Amino acid sequence: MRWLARLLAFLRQASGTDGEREKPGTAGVPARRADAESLKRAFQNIHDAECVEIENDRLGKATLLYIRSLIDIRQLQEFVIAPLQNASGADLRDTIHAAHLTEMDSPEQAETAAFKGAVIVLAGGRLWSISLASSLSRAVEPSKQEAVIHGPQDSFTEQVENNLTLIRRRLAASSLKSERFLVGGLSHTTVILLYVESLTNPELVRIAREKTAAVRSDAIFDSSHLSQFMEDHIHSVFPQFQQTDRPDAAAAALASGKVVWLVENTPFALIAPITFFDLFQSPEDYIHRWPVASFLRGVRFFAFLFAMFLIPFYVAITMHHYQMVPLDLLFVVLESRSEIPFNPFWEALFMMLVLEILKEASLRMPSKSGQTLGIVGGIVIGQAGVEANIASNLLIIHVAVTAIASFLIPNYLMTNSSKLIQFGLLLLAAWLGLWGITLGLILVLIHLNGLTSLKQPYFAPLSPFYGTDWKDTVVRLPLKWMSRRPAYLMPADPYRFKAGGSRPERKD
Amino acid sequence: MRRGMRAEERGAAGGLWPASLGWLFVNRLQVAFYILFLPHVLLYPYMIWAIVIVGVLSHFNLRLLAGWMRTEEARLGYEGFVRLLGERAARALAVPGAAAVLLDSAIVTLDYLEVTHHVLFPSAGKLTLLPLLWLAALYLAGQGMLLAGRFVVIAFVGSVWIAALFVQFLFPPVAEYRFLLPVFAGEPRGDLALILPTVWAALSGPQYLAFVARRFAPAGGMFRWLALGNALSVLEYTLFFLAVTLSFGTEYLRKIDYPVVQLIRYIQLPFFERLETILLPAHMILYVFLDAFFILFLRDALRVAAGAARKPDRPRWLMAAAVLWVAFVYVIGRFFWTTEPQHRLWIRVHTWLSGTLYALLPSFLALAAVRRRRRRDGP
Amino acid sequence: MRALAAFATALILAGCAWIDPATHVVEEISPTILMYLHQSEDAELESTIVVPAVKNENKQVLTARGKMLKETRLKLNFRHSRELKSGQLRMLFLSEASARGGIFPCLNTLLLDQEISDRMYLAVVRGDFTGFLREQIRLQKNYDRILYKRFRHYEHQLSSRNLHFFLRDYYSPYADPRLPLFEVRDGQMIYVGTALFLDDRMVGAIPGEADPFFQMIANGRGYFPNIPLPEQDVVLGKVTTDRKIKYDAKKEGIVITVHLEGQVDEYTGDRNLGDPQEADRFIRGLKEDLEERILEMVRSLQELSVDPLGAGLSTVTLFRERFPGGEWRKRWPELTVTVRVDLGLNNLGMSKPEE
Repeated sequence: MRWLARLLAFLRQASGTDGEREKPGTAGVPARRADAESLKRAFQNIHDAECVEIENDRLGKATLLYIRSLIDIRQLQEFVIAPLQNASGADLRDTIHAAHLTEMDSPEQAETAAFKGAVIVLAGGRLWSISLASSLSRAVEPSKQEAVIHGPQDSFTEQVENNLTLIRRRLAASSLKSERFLVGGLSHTTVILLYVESLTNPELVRIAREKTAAVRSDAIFDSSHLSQFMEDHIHSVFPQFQQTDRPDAAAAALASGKVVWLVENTPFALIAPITFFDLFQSPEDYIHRWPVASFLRGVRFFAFLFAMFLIPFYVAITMHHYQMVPLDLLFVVLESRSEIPFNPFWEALFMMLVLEILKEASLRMPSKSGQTLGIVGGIVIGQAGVEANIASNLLIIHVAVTAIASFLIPNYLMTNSSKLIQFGLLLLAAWLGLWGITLGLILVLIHLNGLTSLKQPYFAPLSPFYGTDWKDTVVRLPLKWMSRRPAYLMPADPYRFKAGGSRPERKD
Repeated sequence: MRRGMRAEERGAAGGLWPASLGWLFVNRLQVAFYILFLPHVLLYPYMIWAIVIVGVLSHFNLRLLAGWMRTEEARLGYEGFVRLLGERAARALAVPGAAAVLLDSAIVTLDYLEVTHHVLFPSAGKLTLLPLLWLAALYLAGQGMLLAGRFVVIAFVGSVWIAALFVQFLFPPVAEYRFLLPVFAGEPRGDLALILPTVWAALSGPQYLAFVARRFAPAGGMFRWLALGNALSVLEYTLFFLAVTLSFGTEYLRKIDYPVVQLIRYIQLPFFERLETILLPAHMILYVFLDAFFILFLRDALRVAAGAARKPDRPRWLMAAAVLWVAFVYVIGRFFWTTEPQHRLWIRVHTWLSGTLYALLPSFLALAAVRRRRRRDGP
Repeated sequence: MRALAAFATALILAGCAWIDPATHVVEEISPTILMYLHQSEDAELESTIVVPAVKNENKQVLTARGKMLKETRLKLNFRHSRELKSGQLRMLFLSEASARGGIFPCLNTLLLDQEISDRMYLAVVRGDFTGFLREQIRLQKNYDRILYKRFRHYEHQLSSRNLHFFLRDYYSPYADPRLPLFEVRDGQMIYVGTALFLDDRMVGAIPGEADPFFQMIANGRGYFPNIPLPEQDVVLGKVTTDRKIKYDAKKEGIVITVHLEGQVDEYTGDRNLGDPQEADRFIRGLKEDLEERILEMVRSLQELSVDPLGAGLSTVTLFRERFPGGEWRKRWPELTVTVRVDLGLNNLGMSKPEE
């Protein structure tokens, strides 16, 4: 019968418990002696689960249960075992002066804590946990995805507590609140919800809290997994959460009135609510001079539109609207296209697929062969393709420019999403020419109109229209002029500073 | 928390449209169909005054409309109409109302499809593009009145830049300023009985806002936004009229079917020519918005007529309205819009329908509201 | 709701896979940019086009005859491997015979065709243009493009009209159309003046010698890099012209005021332009000569009773049209014309070398 009990216990574990909100230490019901056994049973077949018993005439017997791979052995020795052996009082709290000594309410809680890098102490019939997590971590390095030339060079790591440090150092205020969730029945991933209480709309915080608590999954390994459970629209190609590994970006988002999630074991933090225009913002914008920053933002938008529309435009014109071609180009196009056996549509489709294959292959290829692939792909395939009359020169140029332009979008997810939109537009262009492209564009706009991020409109400040927000979307006006926080977030405190730029008054 | 937020933000926060969206609605509702058609009717240079005079009349009419939209009955939506007219009357009037909406949007859409067919896809059938337009409109309508209304900003941004391209026709060498003479006519030629109602119909459209008054956030001056939209429409019509008259002259203008489209084909930018392939599709965003708006109106009219106005909304009403709409448009387009005289007839129908509604509806509603208030506050 | 939309989409996409039965794919068509129309003696229309070449093909000049324009078009289509399209038609040449016979039916056809742009250049050609084209295409493959570039180049200096302006003048009661006139001579196409039209029939031409004077007053404002006046031994350079036409009700006549500003580029005469008095006399002489020549030219227009200057527009006031309907055409030959030239030469520069 014991196997049945074990099986049931295992099933209960693996079926995915809800993310529980943890409240800091409450006095609970003392654990029964039999619970030591239940804990020991949970640790069966875990070879690095260790159980140490320490006897002390003052304290009595203290049983230590821990997973060796999760804790710092040296600290265990120094701060737990040694004091226990020399215990002078009957109360554990007098003996161990660890900062994270907490009493556990139940064996399940103790089990969870043990797998989070705590040492469980069973003493005097009560369960305690001491957090002695191993400090195995990556050093803080510059971000590879969002590198800037000027500006802070630190980025998040996989340790959520380190990440929190980086943010707290930037927003040194008591109004920066953090709530901890455990998400994932199997992974028990720590998710920390951050917001600045004095200025964030409480409605947003409530929605964020509810969504995080409602995540039903067994294992969350990355923030994007988490975001997919919290999204309003799972079928859309547009990302509804922003992911960043830059602490300054996260802090700026918090200061605007957004909500940030820090997820354990991934350096990417989630930010919401975002708008479509946020996908084109880069932290560097606030470092450049404002006309330069505005220009660069304009270039990014232009590059996005260019990347999406160039090839469909080419296909539409060569297939339906020959009268639009400027005269000099007309004969060039006629000559170059006359030898190619395919339609412009098939030609474009083929070349775009080849480009995608190249891009994917370069991601998977070992770095040593990466350069070869670049040469093979770029020069040989392109050039040979033209000479073998599979593609025309003009199209190769379009494809190459499109590929480069698509990387101007700061948001990595959006880069790949725009590819999909481009394929859709290509189909419509081949079918109906420019009318089809416009129809596709309108469908995308309607889609964006109805999209929400954390239940806030995604296409703000265009729809709904907020005049003041336009200071920081397509252009970046001087920071001195941006005295209001983004209106679509409906912040509790709409003003960053009073005009005049003095220190904001503290709201107590 | 709501302190320090502007009115428009408060509106959006509460699930309403900010009052400032009013001018976009008015402008786009007015300009939609007539921008392609009006210069064909206004042949003589002195008709520019017709635009101005009718614009002023429309301005006053909008005052009545704004007055109605401010009343409590307007703010209550269906309940308000019930209070005003009685439930029976409200339900009975929903049927001709639905018919009017259907006819209005059908004619407008079919005319656009006609122009597109004529200019862009002469070898494809006229109604081939209808299902696609319908799908896009249905997609937008499916998002609900709140979101579909917000789309007016995008529709505006997506279609107003076309007017900017016409400014080049106000300057030589294409423009011949003397074509504007005589601008004050002694004995006006031209059929004034046709022209003035057409210009009035060109400025019609805002009357539909009377039924969505509850969607606007309560803000003090609704009228100024309506008036702004009206002024912008008058400006746009004047710009197009000037561009067309200066470029063609009265006699040549008489012979051309779609002078605005003809001018679009004449635009030359450094790398681009034959812009009609871009500008005519660009107009589509306006028609998608309008059709979605009208399908939603139709849905509400159907619900009212069937007595289900108080019950919660179900998707079947929207589907019914959408199917009814596309069937109606298809039937008219296929069987009753095949020859040139029929085309002209439908345009005349639209002129009279839209013009009459615009003339009567605001005054009727405003009067009814005033009478009701007097009865209520009476002796 | 979404399911229905998806179903409808699938239905449509399956049903009309290719909406447009006509093909416009650029490699399957032959866009022509040049067309020549000639009305032969037996009232048959002959149209000639230049067909663009692709690899392994030669550029061809095709001709077909028929009674109507589109009929010839159809015949031309049957002679070629790809479909001929007129969307890129940029130049239309008319033979003098067909111009004199009336060209409106052809132009109307072209106007109604939605594919053809209003910016198509029109010109009248004297001589055997078809043979000339065949020869030139044989020598230079790109001759049609070269011709187009010539038109672009001419736009300000010579009569260069496109379909839009031609039809505008045709319909206007106060102006008459005009087109450039070329002649095929000695294997070259030479500009010989401006062809004048009454309605849609060519009734005459302004000869090459009088043409610069016409150009000076033809458009409101103009710029000419050079105006040669050989009788006065002078070539004026960088000339900007500004003409105003007014109707004088008392005298019942037209006053044409031309304001010319430029400089002397070349002078081969005897006067010493460095001397102020001589220069003054020179300028006055030049002015009188210009006035005389322009007046002579305008009188020749009146004789033909054509008004390519659009002088009739000056008779319309803010309040009324003085000569409504077709009255202007009757009045124009009878009006007295006065020409005034304001000549401003800001750099006379030349002086005779000291002897």
